[in-house]
Amino acid sequence: MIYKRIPIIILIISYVFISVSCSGPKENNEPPIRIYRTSFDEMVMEAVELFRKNHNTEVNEVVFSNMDEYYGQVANELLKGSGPDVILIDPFSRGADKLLLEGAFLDMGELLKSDEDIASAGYNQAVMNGFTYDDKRFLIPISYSVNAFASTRQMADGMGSGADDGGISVAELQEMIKKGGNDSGRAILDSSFSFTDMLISNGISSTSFYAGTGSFYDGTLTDMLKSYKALYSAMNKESNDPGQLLRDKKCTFVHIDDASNPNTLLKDYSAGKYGDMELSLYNAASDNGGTYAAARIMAGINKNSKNPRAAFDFIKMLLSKDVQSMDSFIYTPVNQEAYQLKIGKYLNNRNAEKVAEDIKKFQSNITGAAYISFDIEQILRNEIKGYLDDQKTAEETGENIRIAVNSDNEKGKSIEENSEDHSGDTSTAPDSGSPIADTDKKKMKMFLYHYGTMEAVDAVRRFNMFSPDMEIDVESTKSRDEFTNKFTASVMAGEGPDIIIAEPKLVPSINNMIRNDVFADLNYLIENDPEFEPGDYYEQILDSGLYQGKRYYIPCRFSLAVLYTTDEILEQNNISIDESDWTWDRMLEIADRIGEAGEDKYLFTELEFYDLLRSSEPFIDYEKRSTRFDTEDFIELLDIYRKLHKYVCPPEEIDRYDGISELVLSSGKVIFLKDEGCPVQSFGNNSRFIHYMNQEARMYLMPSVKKGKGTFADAELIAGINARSKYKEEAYKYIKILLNDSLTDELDRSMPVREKSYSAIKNHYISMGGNAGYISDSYGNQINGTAIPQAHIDLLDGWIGNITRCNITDTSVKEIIDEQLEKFLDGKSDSKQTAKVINDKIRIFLNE
Amino acid sequence: MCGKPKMKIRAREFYTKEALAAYTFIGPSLIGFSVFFIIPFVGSLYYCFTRGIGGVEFVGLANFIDLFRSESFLLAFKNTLIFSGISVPLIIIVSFAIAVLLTQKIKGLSYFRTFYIIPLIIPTASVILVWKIIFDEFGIANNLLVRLNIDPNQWYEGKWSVIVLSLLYIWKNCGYNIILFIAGINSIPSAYYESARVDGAGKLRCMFGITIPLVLPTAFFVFIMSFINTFKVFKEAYLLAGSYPDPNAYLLQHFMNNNFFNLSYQRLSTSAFIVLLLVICLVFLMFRFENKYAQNIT
Repeated sequence: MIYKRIPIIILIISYVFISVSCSGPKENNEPPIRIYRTSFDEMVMEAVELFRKNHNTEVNEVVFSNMDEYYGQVANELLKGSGPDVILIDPFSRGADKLLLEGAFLDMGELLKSDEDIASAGYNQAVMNGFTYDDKRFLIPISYSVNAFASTRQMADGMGSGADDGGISVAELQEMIKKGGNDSGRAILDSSFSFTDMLISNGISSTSFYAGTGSFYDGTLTDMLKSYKALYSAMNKESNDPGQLLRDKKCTFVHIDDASNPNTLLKDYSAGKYGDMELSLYNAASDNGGTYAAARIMAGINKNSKNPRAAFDFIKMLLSKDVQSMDSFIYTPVNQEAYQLKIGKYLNNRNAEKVAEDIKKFQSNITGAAYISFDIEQILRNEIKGYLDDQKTAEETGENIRIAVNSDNEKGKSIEENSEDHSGDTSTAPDSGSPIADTDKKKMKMFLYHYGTMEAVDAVRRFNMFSPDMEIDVESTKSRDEFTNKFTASVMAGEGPDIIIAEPKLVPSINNMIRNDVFADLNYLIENDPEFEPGDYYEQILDSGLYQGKRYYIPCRFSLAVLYTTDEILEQNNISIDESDWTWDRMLEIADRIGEAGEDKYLFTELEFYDLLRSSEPFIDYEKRSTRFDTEDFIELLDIYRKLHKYVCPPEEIDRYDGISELVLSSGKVIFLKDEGCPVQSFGNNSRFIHYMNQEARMYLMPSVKKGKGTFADAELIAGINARSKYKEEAYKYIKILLNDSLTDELDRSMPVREKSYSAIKNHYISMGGNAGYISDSYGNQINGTAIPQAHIDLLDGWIGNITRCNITDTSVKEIIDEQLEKFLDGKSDSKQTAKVINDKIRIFLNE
Repeated sequence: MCGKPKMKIRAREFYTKEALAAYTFIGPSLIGFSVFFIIPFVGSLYYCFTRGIGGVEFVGLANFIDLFRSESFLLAFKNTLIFSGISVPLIIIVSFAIAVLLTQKIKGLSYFRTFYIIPLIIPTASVILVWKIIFDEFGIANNLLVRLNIDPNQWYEGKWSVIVLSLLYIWKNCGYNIILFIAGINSIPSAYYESARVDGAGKLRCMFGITIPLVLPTAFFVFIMSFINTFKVFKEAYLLAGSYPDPNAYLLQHFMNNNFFNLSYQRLSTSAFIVLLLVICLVFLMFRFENKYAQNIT
């Protein structure tokens, strides 16, 4: 009997198993929610990932390459009644006030009331409830900051200050000035406390300016301006380094922006930026009592959202400990648990604990939140200057501000009207916010590593906007390894993205991909494109994608390897460089001289073996699948590299200078800084050299193996089309957008293959003149930018004009060489053995 | 007349019961074997005659021709044959010798039997770790050489790389063969040995006259299994010296694995197909040879 039943039982179990496994997840009829973000907004990216993991609702992400486009698109779409479901507003938002005034957001009052968790003490309710408009909860602050004044207890007491745990108001600061606070020659405050900070401290938001009546401009604003001017006259305007000002006792108080944020003051304190100084912190209080936090990121729901409940769930997730404790969440979290976690990271000394205690007091003092938008801040910044310089009265300034705000409002309306006028053109520029339109569109797939390919993201946005029936679906990854694995696995599965945009070092061997027909031949598409002018592109770069007469990829960007130094450093080390004879042999002579002198000195901040390989005659013939690594040329390169390797500054030595290479150069330890040669790096390095060494940077091309062989470039980003793609022509259109438009707009990357784009970028850096803004050093400190010298541009132009070859990294070959090189440098094998092993292995690889 | 139909029904019932039970028990294994071996194999056969990832173009026998023109494939093929040529006879001799010893009546033999099985169950990564301790540049082997005033050796490079790999293969797989040989030796009736001794045969004569001839069917099986196992040493070879070891230790498994990562599925599939043909031919020949020889013995 049992024999009879076993098969039946197994059949039943199999049926149940198969029916369960084949039925898949239950049909989800819930409308998806749409989130917009910039490509570098890691916090939102991680939050979306988390939401996808924990919720059934589908999330459609739209990624923009820069904030202008992001805000422009969000504003336009919201005002037209479409757009993202969840909107995040931060201090850089353009047009945020107008959206609020136009009623683009849903009142979340009811949703918030019904949610017991969010109403709990686990969140900073004073901040979250502190921002209302028209008594409605259109936006919830999910992070905030509190302006603070810092001093040493001794200095603050000496002022006989009214400073207490409730903070210090501007009125109190003025009282201190009246009592002779400046008699000691010490300023009361530094000039980083702006008029905007003062408005926020008094609970005035930018919406007050748009909705402001005459009494606001004539009364409140004028009084504020007068108050600020009185304070401004007693400010120290010499330095913006608060630690230095307090140490030199040049100010009684220094303004600390974003003081409540564990990532700023406490982090600096913990890192020793304030030395052993014991700080006393006071929050910037309102003149009428209470403390207003500056709302940093606010979240709202689109009034026309098809799924407000899911949008609210997303906002709830943004408020959760998981999201708010992320490293990418850069302001003060409203979630108290996340706040404690972040504070806990930096409590590594007694002084830091004292600062943390002071910061905690801010929490209890907060009575509300205020927000000044980017647009209003710009107006205030422009208008107040004349008033502070005594060119205008407070009343005149108030009136000018009112006019500017009204004019800005009108401008906003005209943009809105224009966008409506174009609504008839939706056949060519469809509303990307419409979910219905999306479902009808054909989709191309693309993988991106999001940090490295902002121009590609920008091109996707442009393509999606102007393609009526086609959309590019981007799957971006936040780690290089993840990108490599995903790309390789999908190509291995015989699929892969339709459009291949990648850095060569992030994908499997490009040559193997070519041999295995992963790429489509672009020549067919180019030949049928009357608009494509090969003369518009750098020939040597463009043609590096040619293999046996077929064009498999186009290098979008390329780089040149450059050594940066200064004339003074070269002079001190008795080095003269003859650029017509700038070979590795000459570099070796310099190294030998340093070695003989027995100085504790290095030649380079970094140097790879590939830097030597770049300019040598190719050691691989991919077409013939032959190698010549076992030749004297290669053996000599190995020997040179081993000798030079001793003169590469170890990373731990650079770490001693906070990782700031310029400081290492300035100390005399290192002679050359290795970096890319392109306008943005030239601008950055020159600015940092001037900041840290007060010397202009000098650029030298990386030496070559033999003299007079020209310039050797490296392909940095390639664009190709998957041979299996059904949409090759559309993919080609995308590549054209990338090459023609997006590369030109991406100023912060290596050089574009298109000459016009390079000229535009170059002109941008030339035209900055004396107004070069700020840049960051490798430690994250902001320093003044210095316009790129014409000599650098001339050098770059000369090198580019002289390019003889563009190399492309073959990851498999590089891995083989690197593995043997390690043994070689460790002395486990000599150069001949190493060359032979490399030759044998690469030959095997090529012939596989 | 009445009895026959009844018997037929019983037979059918019995047949059905047995068959269903058999299908039930072999079903899961058959499904697994089909899903993970037969279907992928048929799929990979398709790759042998196409070009491009995903198989976009039919190219006939071009992949086979291309493969035999590939330096790397020929090198891997040659190395694999050399490796098999060294390892298979060695493992048979060593395991047979140990099996003979383990069938003697010596105290504590059961413990030895257990020891020889242990390498089979130790994870490969752990085995490699020990092997590296022995053969690394500053390992035990080189230490000994230095103490004997002999220059240390690069064990993973040159011809030594094949020897190290062979040793590893023998050490790892010997236990399994020993079990088979012990079973084979134990199945020989003791009466044969007693008769031989009565006739004045010594131990050596018994070994060559009785043990070896009668254990040959087992030896054929061990040979086939050992030969097949030489095609499965990739894990060990990869962990010892990576994807691109010394050219002497570059085996077909390296070739196939590298082609997988180099996206050359056609080459991978074609070479796998050729290896399969080779193994099938060899097994077929061995069975023919065994049948013929077994008849001669009987």
